[in-house]
Amino acid sequence: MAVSNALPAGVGLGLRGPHVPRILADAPAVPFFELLTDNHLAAGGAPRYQAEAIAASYPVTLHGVGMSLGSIDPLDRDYVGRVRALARATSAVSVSEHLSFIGCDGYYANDLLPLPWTEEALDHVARRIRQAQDLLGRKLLIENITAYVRYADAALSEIGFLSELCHRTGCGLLLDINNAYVNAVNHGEDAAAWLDAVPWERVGEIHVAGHRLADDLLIDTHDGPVSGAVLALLTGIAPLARHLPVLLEWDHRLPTWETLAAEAARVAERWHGAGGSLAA
Amino acid sequence: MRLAELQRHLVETACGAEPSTGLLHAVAPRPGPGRRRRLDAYRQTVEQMHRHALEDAFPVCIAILGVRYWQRLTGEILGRPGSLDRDLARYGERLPGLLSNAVRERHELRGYEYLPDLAALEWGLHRVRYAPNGERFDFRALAAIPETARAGLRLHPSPALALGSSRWPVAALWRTHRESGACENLPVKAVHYAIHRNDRLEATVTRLSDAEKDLLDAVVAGTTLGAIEARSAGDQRLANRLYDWIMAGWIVGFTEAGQPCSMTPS
Repeated sequence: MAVSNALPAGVGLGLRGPHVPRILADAPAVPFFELLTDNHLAAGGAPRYQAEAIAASYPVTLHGVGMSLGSIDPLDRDYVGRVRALARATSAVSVSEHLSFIGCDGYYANDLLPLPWTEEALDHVARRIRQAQDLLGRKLLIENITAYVRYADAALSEIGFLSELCHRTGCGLLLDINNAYVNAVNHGEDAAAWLDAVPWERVGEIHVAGHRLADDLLIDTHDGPVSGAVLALLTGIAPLARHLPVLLEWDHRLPTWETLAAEAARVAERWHGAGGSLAA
Repeated sequence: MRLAELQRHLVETACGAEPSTGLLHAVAPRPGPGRRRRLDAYRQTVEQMHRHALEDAFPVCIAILGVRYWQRLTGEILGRPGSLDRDLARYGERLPGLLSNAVRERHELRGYEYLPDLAALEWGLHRVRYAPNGERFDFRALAAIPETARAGLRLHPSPALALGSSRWPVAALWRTHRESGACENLPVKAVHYAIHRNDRLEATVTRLSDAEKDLLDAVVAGTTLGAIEARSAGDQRLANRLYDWIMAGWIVGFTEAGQPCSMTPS
């Protein structure tokens, strides 16, 4: 079963607060914006106003980090309820989260930490995704994360784990090409082979972002332009994913709106050149 | 290693603890960097994220102390990163209290005795920035309450309101830093202040008189309207402030006598 997707094709942008006044004033041609869920959850104040103002003019998606779907702690129903309220307030086209946990026993690292690809973890996460989807009243898109470690007792591959989650829960996938590339380089794996194994019929959206080399590891920093290697992987999947929306993430060392828009145009040009759809 | 155990070990390590033997065994050897180096990447990113969260919340404190000293100081007094809240925007709540100890104990902070109060002000601004709106004051419901029952009403402060006091002119210091970076002509008198959102939804600071602060403290404490009116008896200007604060969204609702209070005062 393919994941339904009402987002327009083309390259969307992650919404960041400093750019909002400019976007609201100039109404630039951006096919969609992604809101970082956790930044807009409070039912009031400037972040919520910005979310709703942008949603009044553009299709939006919600992308969260705080649901901690893999955690051994009970699912935070209040948090999920607030995500649901935000999704309603912004008519969000999709809601996505990560295959990870951010803390346990009530203590949080506030970072996306990797799960082992074991049957125990699969049962656990599948149960929690079903629970979250029931509370949200919609299917989630689950994103593959950057993982600096691989666990020794993995029973499945990452793609095998994600595919089985889709099968058991009906969720879709948000495929982050940058994360796939960073993982491949850091673990001596083949990113193209990894992408070949993706169940494309389950993918609802694609992410690209920048990374940085820190000594001997690539770090998923989201603080610069998309690398040539990641762009090459993106264009390589265009024949399989030409209909999918692509999202450019740039979270730190935030550039000017002009620089961000130019980077999105560069990604869009490469995507379109390889056969990917552009916004109408 | 079972899932629960693995998660506990990894969270501890990401928050700065030495990786356990069990965790090191659970991590598969890979080409390139070793297991410790890979786990250390989490410690570094977690540290960086918590540092950014503090930078977001305490920009004036950082401007006064300088980034390098700020990072060293907060690293020492906060200890390992990690939080009791899934929301990174709430990281730093303990800092004003910890700074109170630091300015007493550290000779290099002599002359910065106002710093904990400034940090408390900045934390209040940060909290108000991300607070929900709360309910909308229902004048129609108020009008429906018999005159004789109004003395028993308890008013609800907005979740986006915070009150504070300092014997240092921290509100003026904050405003001056925000507006010009210069610190001249600051008032020397101790002040009370309210932190609230302005028409542009920005968190901002308004100075309060002693009487206004008393009145708002009474609202926050859940004092009945009758007791508040008795306290301000004869001062119509002060009584009118309640109406002003309702119109400004500082007071957002009320509870009738005998009803459980539906809101936690901020």
